[in-house]
Amino acid sequence: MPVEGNRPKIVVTIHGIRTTGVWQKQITPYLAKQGLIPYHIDYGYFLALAFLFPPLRQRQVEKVRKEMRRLVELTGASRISVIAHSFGTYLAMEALRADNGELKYDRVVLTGCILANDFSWTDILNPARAMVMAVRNERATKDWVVSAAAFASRRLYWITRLRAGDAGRTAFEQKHPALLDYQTEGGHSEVHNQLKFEQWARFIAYPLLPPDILDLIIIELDALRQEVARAFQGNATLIRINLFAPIAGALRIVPGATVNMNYAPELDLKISPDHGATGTAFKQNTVAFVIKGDRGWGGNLLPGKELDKLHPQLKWVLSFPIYSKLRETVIAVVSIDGLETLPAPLQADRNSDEFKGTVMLPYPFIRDRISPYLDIAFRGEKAPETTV
Amino acid sequence: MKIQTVSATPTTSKGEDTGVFTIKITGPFDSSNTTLQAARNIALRTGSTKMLESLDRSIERMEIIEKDNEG
Repeated sequence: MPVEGNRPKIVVTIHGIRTTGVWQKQITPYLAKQGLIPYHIDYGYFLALAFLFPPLRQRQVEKVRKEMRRLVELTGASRISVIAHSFGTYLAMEALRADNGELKYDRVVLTGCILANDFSWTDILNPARAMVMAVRNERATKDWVVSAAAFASRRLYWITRLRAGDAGRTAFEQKHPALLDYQTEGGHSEVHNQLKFEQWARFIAYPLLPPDILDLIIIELDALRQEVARAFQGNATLIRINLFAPIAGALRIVPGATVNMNYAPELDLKISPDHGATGTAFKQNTVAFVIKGDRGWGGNLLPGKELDKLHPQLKWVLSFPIYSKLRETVIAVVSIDGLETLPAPLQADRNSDEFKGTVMLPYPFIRDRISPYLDIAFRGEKAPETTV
Repeated sequence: MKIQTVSATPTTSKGEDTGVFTIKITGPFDSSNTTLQAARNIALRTGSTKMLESLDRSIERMEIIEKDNEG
């Protein structure tokens, strides 16, 4: 189940004008398949004339903002994801802008988008503010509706006071690694189809990995475990591997993305960036290594209650950052660890080539064979089919 | 390729020994690098063929290890 901490992710859908959002009902099973909880905002059949009339439009923004705030308060979710169509894209982003910062989105899918083409995504996606974590803009080449919205904004602004555009046809001007752009041949609702519904659900569920990608990653992690056991002259049964990713403000094990992890408390680990080997690898984009000495983990920075979750026999942890070229940042950490004993090569002088060669050896494997799957999952796409 | 031990001694926080060693790897990968040669030798010696394949692919592509994470 996609988790926000230990809560399922909530997805708000918002329809457009002159419709009651048939697609919202159609997409529900696809969201449920990925373990997401749909919440459909239905504000009724909204006339085009009402859309052009500023007080009615602003009243609708405020109603949507309040409904989402109430949803957040009731569920305790720190972020919600959004799938919006047409006027719904305007409502979603205006509600975010009008809010005082309590409302934050996780992942957003825009279809038939009428936002202004110069919409300031870099500000909203800026990690320091992180009002939105990632956006997928689904454009359609023959979407005359968004062109009409752009016209109403450009030529009739003195009446409509509308700041809109045709980003649903011609794309946003700003580029950002977390702003994904997809183009489809067709009209305003062209992307409301099964294939897209599935992709959006997978996109929103991230970093939960859908079964097709998770299976491939586990195969690779297990192969890595065997290889590491050989290279480190260790016992494979004492070596474990975990994939950590940022989930709800901390690094947590991606559900299911573990190998040989049989100690249940560790599956609930919550690590802050820069804490321990895993957090250090993530924050500093370095390989990080930590050993448990005779006096424990030294002044280890993991808080006590997190340290208490560790396997009592855990002896060492070697963590590797996964840097995404697509998103231009570290997106995950692969942590390899071992129980009971410290393998001989890891006891060598830390400035020796033998030591450095040993600890860097898994890195190209991780970059080569695991990292690409995470970028595929981030985009909501399926793993490429392999031919036998 | 440079493989630099960023902290030859454990990193510290508020004067406390954290026990975390960090090793910065920057590129592009250069087959003449002694650490890289050591890594290849370990993979060859121990039969870690998949890690060796990935290492050689990195050298072939002259991969550059990415810039620091600022997130």
